Amino acid sequence: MAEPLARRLARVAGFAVLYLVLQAGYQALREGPDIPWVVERGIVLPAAVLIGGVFPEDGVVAQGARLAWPGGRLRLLAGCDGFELLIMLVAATLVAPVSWRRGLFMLGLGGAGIWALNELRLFALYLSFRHWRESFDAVHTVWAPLLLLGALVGWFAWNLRRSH
Amino acid sequence: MESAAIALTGRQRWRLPSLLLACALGLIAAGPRAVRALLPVQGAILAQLLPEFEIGSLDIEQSGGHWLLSARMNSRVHLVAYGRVMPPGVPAEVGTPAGAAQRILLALCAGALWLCSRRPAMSVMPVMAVLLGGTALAVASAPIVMAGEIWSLYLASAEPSLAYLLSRLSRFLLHGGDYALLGVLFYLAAGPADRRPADPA
Repeated sequence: MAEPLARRLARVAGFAVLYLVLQAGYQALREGPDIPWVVERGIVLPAAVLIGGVFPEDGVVAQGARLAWPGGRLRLLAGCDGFELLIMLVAATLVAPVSWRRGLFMLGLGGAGIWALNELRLFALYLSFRHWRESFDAVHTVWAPLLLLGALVGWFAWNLRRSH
Repeated sequence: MESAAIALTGRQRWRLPSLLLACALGLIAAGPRAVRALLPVQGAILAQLLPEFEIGSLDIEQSGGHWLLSARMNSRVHLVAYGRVMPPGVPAEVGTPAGAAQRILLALCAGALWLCSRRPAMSVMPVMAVLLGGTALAVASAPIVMAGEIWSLYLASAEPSLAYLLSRLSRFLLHGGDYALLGVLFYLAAGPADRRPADPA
């Protein structure tokens, strides 16, 4: 059963307001002089641990917002931290026609899923940067973001279907 | 979006999805070079957004392993940049990842295919509306991002209010705003697509 257009437009307006507020907060966080603790400890460090676990001989360590190794480094710019998708998930869930239990489930497991997939993305970026440099741009700009976006949309659609 | 009465039936139903699939495969095969077809329109948008500059060149280039949509421009007017007044003719160069437009177009194809698969007798209008809106987004986002960068660098001190607006829009698109706009488009289209064309509502 489709929703009336007016209700859909109201949800879009709510999403837009929430999204803009959250995105402004994210930009303030990322464009400040300091690297946010959550990026340093929550994103870069686990990625360094993951890469170090698979390729211990590479000597990859977390240095602020960079993955560094002897003779090279990979800097995580705004957007590589998965927050853009997290913002979309939060804003969309808060206006979605779901129960609060389902909403909490969507936010909790969805947020954890985005974080985990983003760590895998950083792993893939490192791998392509070190070993398949010619494919780095495609992985970085096109495929990794598309896969994460697809996963988010799939998660959202699956939950909406389950809640009905 | 409400006029969902035009429906595709029988073999026609497969034409649009087949075309979308072909477009997606073409985009994958061509890589960022596929975006070259958009350059004339993107150049026109950039010229409209930055009348103070003359576009010298706009092309897709490979730089350090990255495919960039690069623009080289010359100012037509006196500029105030870094606290100094610069005469006309000052060159400005700006670049943005070319893959961003390719990514939007691929997401658009995948999303439109998903819309097509939702109903056996699908409505064509919502899909066409999404395709038009998404293509407009893919075409316009790169020039907006580049114009925002140029404004921030060269023209912010001349007209702060406009610079602020363009910079905000540029940053909005850079930080995932294109995803959000695409999501809104699909969400609005999914409602009419959910109805069978015969539905009176």
